[in-house]
Amino acid sequence: MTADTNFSAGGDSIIFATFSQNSRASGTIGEVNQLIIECSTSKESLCRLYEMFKDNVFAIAFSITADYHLSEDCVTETFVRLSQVKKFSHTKGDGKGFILTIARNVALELRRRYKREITDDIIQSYGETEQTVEDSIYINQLLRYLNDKQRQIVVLKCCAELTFKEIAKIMKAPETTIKSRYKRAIAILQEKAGVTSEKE
Amino acid sequence: MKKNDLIENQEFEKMLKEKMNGLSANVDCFDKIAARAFPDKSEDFSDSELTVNELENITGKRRRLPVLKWVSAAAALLLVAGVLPKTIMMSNLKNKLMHKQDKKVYRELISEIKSETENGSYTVLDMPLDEYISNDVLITPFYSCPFERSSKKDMNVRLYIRTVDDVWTNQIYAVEYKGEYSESSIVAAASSKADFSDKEIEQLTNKQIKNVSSIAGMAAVSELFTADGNSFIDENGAVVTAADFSGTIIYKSGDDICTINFDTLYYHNDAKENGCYYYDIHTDCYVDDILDNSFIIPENDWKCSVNFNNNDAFPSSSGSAFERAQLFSDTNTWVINDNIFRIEPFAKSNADKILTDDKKLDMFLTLQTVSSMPFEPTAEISVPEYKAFQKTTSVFFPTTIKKNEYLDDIIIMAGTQFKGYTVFYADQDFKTPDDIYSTMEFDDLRYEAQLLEAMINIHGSKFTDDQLIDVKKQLSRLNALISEYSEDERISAENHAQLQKQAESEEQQRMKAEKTADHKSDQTVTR
Repeated sequence: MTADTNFSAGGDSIIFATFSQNSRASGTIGEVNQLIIECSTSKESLCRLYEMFKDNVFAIAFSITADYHLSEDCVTETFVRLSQVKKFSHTKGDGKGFILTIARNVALELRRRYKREITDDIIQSYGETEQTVEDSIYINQLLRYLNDKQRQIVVLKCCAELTFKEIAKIMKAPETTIKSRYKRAIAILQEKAGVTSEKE
Repeated sequence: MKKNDLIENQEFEKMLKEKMNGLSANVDCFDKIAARAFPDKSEDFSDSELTVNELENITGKRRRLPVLKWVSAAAALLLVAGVLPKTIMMSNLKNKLMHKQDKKVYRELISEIKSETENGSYTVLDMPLDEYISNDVLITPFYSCPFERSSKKDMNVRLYIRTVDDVWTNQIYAVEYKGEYSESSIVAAASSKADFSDKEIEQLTNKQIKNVSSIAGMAAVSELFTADGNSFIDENGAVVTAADFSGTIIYKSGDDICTINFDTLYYHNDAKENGCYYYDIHTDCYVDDILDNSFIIPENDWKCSVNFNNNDAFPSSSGSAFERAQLFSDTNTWVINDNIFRIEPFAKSNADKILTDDKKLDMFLTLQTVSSMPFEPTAEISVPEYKAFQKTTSVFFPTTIKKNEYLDDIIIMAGTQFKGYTVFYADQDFKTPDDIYSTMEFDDLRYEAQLLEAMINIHGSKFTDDQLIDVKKQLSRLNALISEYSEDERISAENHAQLQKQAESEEQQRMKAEKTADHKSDQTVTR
């Protein structure tokens, strides 16, 4: 693992997290595909995939559940299910998209189980550190202005750094639709976040 | 301009990514993943919360008796008790038992427990003996602990509660043991009077259970206490904290079986260290699916409690931290004032994630950004192990509670610094009276409206002018919601109600015919 979280004892709330980004390199498509094939029998391969995609999986889960703990559970469940995949094509498969699709499906499933009603409201539970709680509240306060699909698209684009084409494949929607939803979502977020843009 | 927009978009995307990465940086669950993906040995994966395990064995967990600041629900068992204070109940019980106790030998009782629990469906709860004695209302609201407090260390109690489709009955066995649970560590055992036959259990299976009303506790709190800043205060001006939980029990008394929906309300005076908690229980009893609140619920219905040497094991006095008080009004159980919110902390959070290490729920009001954490808890709740009842726990807050000065919402957090927090927002997670009504089905709304109308007709002269206004306001709220149902829905609901009544009537006739046939058969056998 590359993230270390340290706490000070005695009730002071100084908490800091440090992490190294080096081991979270994206990897080539071929490498990712090979790791997916191997991860059912190799803990090292599964660990590598976890390091590469944990953040992205968490981000997509968070955009759907808006709940830190549920998102954490989603990360666990996603990689466990990944390790149980029997058939994956090394040449045809899109590993990253595959993993994020699993993550999305798991997140939707968990949200269904733990929410009483399917609404666009955000449920929250957050973080272990001051900063993460604050970030959580901030992100949720922003994302609550978006609908469900807009939230997912924004997170997949900004946090998972997918192309519109890749997002369209995961969300099973036309690329043009994804683009227009993204544009609209960003405009809303910028307005709410107080980012002004000069217009012609 | 477009270039500027592009730059701002990219900066915004970068900001969002950084914040999201900051969130995920603390996620460290590969060990858990590896344990499930590559199990070395059979492990317990109940973290997934998807496994319904009716035998919740928490043997081995040793918790010190917490000094509870105040109490909140979380049901546990259902057992019926009367309205007498626990101290009187205990001495009455002991007296009764001295005269009437069924002289069951210890060994026979242990054999019965072993046989019953192996063949029947039971929920299992383990807890330290001292905890059960003090927190009995949180664990078995209608029963006190049937064992004496012990000077020995590491004494525990295991409860076996018989269930039907995961609904608890009042057939209970209690076992006192030392250290780890085993037959050889048992020192005393007790059993309830209720004993369901296999046939009765079978008849009760797949029985429709009515939803428990979530109104009574909220109505009581809104009536009893006054909103004052961030807290409720009682009539003496003391700050109190209140919560409730609800559940259902299938109860047998003699040959009669009824379904009891209960709501247990607790509150505690925050200023009193080690003070007692006040509680009351509201019940709705259904006999053959018909509401019958004339059903008398026996108190503390233990049949026997014996030590390993066959001596009586009942306690000489109650050590409960709970004192019964009349919190539910006879005449006004349904009117909720506008001074109250309700949070259901476990409706959206796993208890394991937000409880402290000593199984308490701390709730914090955030008045500013979180940089000044940790906060002084606004509320503290002790909850039992049984997760199904945690889900029904509500904590009450007044509507005068302050909003976050940097945001537009009231924000309450529950959890710990090290395990994380669940955040509740006023407009999403706080249930107002209207929120409760809006989730009710047409039939329940109509039933509530009928109750209110009956209350006005029967008890209207006892109300003050303000109370009467509140009741009528509540009735018009209900009627407004009822009228929102479309004509089709109303007809459909009425047809459904009619069909249900018809089915109930046919079932009653069938049961009567069965009883008659059994009676005739018994008479034939006797001859």
